[in-house]
Amino acid sequence: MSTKHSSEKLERFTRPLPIKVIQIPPVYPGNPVSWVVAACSFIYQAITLCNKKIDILYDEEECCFKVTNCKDANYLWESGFYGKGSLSRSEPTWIARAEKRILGVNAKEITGEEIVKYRRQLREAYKKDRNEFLLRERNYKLSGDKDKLAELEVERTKLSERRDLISRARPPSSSFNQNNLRAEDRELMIDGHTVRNIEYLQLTHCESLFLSYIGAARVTAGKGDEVKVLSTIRLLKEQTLQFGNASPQNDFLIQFVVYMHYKSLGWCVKSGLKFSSDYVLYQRGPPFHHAAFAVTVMNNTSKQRLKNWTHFGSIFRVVSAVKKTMILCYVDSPSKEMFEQVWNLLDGRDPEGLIRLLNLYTIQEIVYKRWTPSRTRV
Amino acid sequence: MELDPETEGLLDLTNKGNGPRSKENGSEDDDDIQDWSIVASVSKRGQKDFEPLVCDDESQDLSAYDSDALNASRNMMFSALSKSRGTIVTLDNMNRSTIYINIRNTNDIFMPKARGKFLESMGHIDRRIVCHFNYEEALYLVERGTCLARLFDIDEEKNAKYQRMLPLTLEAVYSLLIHDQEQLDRYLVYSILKRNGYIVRRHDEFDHAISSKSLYNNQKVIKDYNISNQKKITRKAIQPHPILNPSLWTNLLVSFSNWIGIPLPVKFLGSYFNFFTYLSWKLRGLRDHNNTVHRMKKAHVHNYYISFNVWKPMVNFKKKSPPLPDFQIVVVKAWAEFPRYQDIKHLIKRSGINPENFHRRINHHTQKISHISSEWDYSRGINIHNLKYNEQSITFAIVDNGIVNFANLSDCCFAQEGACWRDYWSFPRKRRGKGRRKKSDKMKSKTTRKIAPAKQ
Repeated sequence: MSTKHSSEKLERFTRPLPIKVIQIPPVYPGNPVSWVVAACSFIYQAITLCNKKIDILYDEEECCFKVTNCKDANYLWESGFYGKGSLSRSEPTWIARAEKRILGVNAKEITGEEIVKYRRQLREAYKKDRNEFLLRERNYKLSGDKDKLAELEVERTKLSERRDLISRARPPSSSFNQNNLRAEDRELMIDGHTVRNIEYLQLTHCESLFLSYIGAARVTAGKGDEVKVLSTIRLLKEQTLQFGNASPQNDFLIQFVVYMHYKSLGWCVKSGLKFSSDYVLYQRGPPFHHAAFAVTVMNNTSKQRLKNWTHFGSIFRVVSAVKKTMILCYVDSPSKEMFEQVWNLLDGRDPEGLIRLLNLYTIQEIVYKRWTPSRTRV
Repeated sequence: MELDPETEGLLDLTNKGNGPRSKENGSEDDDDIQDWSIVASVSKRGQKDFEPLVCDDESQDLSAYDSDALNASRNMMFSALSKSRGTIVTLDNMNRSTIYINIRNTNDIFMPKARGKFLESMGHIDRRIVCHFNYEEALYLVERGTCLARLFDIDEEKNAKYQRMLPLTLEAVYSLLIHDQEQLDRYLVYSILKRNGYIVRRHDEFDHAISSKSLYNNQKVIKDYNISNQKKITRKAIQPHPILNPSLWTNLLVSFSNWIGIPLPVKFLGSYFNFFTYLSWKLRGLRDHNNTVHRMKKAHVHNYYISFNVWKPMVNFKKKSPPLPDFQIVVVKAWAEFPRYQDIKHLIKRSGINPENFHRRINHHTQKISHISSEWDYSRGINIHNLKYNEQSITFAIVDNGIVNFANLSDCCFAQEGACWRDYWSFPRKRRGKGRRKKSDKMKSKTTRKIAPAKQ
């Protein structure tokens, strides 16, 4: 597995959770200086490190969790890759791009959007050349020119090499062009030389609840004077009821159980909607590796029939095309009595109730792979 | 003679019962070796081979290039067929290659005085050297052209009449031997695997009977296998035992914070790894598979049966004492409901396949599945290979109107691998040449290697 970005950029991502933990430098038994350094660092960090809770705004009209503070949004992304920029592909980079475009700020960092744009341009150009090549080939074929056809083979290999290189190409630092400005850009400007940030970080239901549970964030709802703070349990109850009755088969609960399962094992869990599954799992995070697994959640206890083989075969087609392993995550839900017993005892002051509820469920995993008999003979 | 499997299959379809002599029947008297290259090209043509260069709007005449290509394509099949074919059943050896189907009981399919290479992996020979076949085996042999089929009756007079008749056509054999959809599906799967060169035998559950002993037997078979190969790949080592206990420091901190009644001071946990192990320890109920056991018993329905044992092509295959199969096949219909976990699990428990098939890294010193160590792989937290491949697996053949697709479902346990975050990721790392550890680094003492990532 290769890292996708340069290592300087990756040094930003040193936390899996938006919580700061005291980390002591290594202690060498034979080196008393290192003990002192470690002790000093411990005391220093114990005093200076404080975990400020991030404010997540729950927009009840849009049913959406927002982090509007730019600093908080970046902090959340850097420590565990939570959420998605509302105007970006994933990392909230709109403000950086807008400053480059409107103000001509010469930022060193290349955003993912720019890379994608550049590579798309290259592919477009490649396709144009390929079509031109095919046209020439056809003309030679029609005229029966065998020598020229043989010459074309060299060009064909060159073309395919060029195509392979595109997926590694990086855009050159672009030059600022005043003419690129649009009329509506003026509205974004504050007093001529700053761009107003109109992007916010969107969090999923599961992410917000998880952050709230581990004490990294505080969820608030309402506007103006009626701002209220939602406790973890209240958030859990509200979200559950949005997805139907409070029953063991509730879709939100089942999704959250799976989210929590992988999250507690240290995986970076993101939505797998693009790959027709429920979640994708990154070992460290999107900038480091591609996701290795795509998880499909199966409700093992539901009375409804599961989908047929064709359905899962189609999901596998998509997942295997992006070289991920397909995981079927079977969730067993508790009986209604057991569930209600815990559900009714949930207390807003005790977030551990969430864990008691989740522990009623059971998770088992199966790997789905295709077997091609003609390939495994030896 | 190396045969392209697809070509063989194609020939079966095109030549039906009088196809060429197949490799199973390769006895000495077959002198002319067939040239398969032309036949192979038949199966490899695709849509683009027929694509003309001229579009409608330009001209209606074909260019020389197009007409050449068209002619070649048109004549491909003829030129393939015009070559002389290898002989099938030789007339002087009729007895050795005739399968008899008892007209009164079509399950009774036999071949007296059986001889032939195919017997190494097919049929069942009784004391009187009469070889009995299962329907799929007989049908396959007839379809391949290896054998002829005739009717048989215990009544002498009728039997004599049958023997004067021409051998049965392939259609007749199909209608005699196959009675329902399931049999046809199973035959399809069987023939595909056989044509691909695998050795395929019926599993005990072929007749929809799961013996209570089978669970026990499988454990025993694997045990025997391990003893005979002097390897201890026990199932115990692979059983998921997921719960990693939190560290002593975490426990102290938790009990202390509980005692004075404050929320856990997370920043004192020392590392993120500790936090994740603590969190996953709290969620241990999620992975406690014992509490599903009673559900499993209740929900279990006998809907799935292992039909075939499959071995990769091998020499010295013994029908009577076969080695552990490489794959086990369950035949299902594409529009049938996907199995529940308990069904898959029960199938996996009943299965017993060759564990060496899956190259899980097993440490030969500790006899445990190896876990990635930070010393030689910095970027990876855990051994993903262990999650992707598992010998506890079962293969499904999904049949959709004659098209067969295979899916392999294997057990997997993320919790068993533990938390995948590594704390040395928190420390920015000094850059090395291409980020790889040089050989000289490996020579250094173990302690320096352990702390190396943190030092930087």
